[in-house]
Amino acid sequence: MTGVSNEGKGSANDKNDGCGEKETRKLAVMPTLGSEEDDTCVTFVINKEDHTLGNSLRYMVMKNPDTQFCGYSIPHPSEEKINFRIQTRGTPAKDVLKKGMKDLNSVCEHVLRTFETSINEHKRRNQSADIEPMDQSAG
Amino acid sequence: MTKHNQREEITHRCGYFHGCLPFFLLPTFFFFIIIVIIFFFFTFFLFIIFFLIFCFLFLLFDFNLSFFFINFFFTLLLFFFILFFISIFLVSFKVHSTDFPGSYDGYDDAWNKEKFEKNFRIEVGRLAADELEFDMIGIDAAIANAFRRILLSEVPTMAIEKVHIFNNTSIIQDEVLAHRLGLIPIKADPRLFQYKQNLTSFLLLIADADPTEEDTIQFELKVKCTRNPKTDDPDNMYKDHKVTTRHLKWVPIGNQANIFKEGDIRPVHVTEDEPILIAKLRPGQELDLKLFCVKGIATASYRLLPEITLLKPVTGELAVKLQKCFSSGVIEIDTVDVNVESTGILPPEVLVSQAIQVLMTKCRDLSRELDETDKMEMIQVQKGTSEDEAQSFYT
Repeated sequence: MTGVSNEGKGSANDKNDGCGEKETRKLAVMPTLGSEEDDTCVTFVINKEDHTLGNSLRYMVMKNPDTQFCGYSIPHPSEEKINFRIQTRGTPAKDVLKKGMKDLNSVCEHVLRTFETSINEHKRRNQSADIEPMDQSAG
Repeated sequence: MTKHNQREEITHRCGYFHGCLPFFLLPTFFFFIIIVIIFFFFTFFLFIIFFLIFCFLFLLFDFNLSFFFINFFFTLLLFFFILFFISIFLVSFKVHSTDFPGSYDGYDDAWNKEKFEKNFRIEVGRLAADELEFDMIGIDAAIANAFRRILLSEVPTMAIEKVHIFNNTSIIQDEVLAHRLGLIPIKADPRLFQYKQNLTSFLLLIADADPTEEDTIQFELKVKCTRNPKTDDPDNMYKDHKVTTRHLKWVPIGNQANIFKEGDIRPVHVTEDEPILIAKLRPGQELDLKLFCVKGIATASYRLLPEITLLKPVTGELAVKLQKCFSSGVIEIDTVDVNVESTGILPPEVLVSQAIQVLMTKCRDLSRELDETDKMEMIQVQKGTSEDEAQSFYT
């Protein structure tokens, strides 16, 4: 893959929304009154995300044997944010979230590698068999 | 793991009842067919019996008694049909995974990277210029669905966003025309362009930066419809009465002319097939527009996919025939059959690669934010909300 730009999508990562307000960060934590010291049960609020990241991240966090509970919800469909709740059996929730994201990243990398290998092999097989001409870029 | 072992493992698992009844989550076709057949013949059998009883009673006794039994018979029939349909619903495939640590006793379902990499494979079925079909085997529905969602709406493309209308005397309203233009797929590789930055002036207004060669593509649409005096044939009466994407002319900005050849940047569907119709004109009407394309993602557009519902259960020989209608391997464990149809801007295999990279970028950005903050910002909680306000989560 050549020249893949790593910029954030559109203005999603715009730190300044132009009105001089506080920048909206991607990640925040919902406060739990009465148990601020307990870092094993945390609700993260992730902005500009929806089921795409929520469900896949939830699956990876659930695969962690340390997780007691993991779920996500979308408070209102008009607002683009998700509440991501993690309860663990001892390790800090932040670390569990980090591990979940690292695992999801490694899954994506492996899928990408496997996909590209399969596609190239498929193209090679079709080229050598010469069944049909190689797909031309749309003329 | 060979197919035989997989089947053995699933059969072995159904002996355990933990948490939500995994019995109903058996993904094997075999059990589904058996249970549906049992209920089908059960209700059918009862139907026959009650029908015969009813006929028998009708002949022997007077009308009143017969009507009582008609009532009774139909109520019972309704009850069993309801039971039948509920049973189908209960044994239907559930996509909810249960392979989490702790679901099954004695099974280590924790995330195992080597195991995943060993079992995961992709089989490409068909690869054409604008269509790709492949199977992903050994991946969970949650992640495959994430790829699907990204493919539909978060792979960046170039599209017309701003239309400067200098003259529009057609009957298509300005905003409708602009909307239609925005939906035209533009054949320009979005990886070669950057996102357009919104400027903010010191007057706290959001202004648009001037279009630069790195983030904008400019088109021109200038069409005037005239009468064709030569023929009386109604098909050829007017000249340029159909405004199509063939009338869109690329206007290079800066050094775009050096980078891209003439014909590299154009709407899709111009040279082959039929061009997309934008508007229709009559003599005297004209369009004079300047169109600006930028890179972006679809914020809220979904493509409707046809849904196939089986109206009645398919059993035996017919089931085998039905299976043959789909690509091989549709009825398997943890298989996702993916069909990607591209609009023509990028080839479908590139779209899938991009989609996977978008998900990786999301993870990396979130990870980075997580690392950057030691003590994360706390949300301001309003006085009204109480902490025991139950919020249901997708789990």
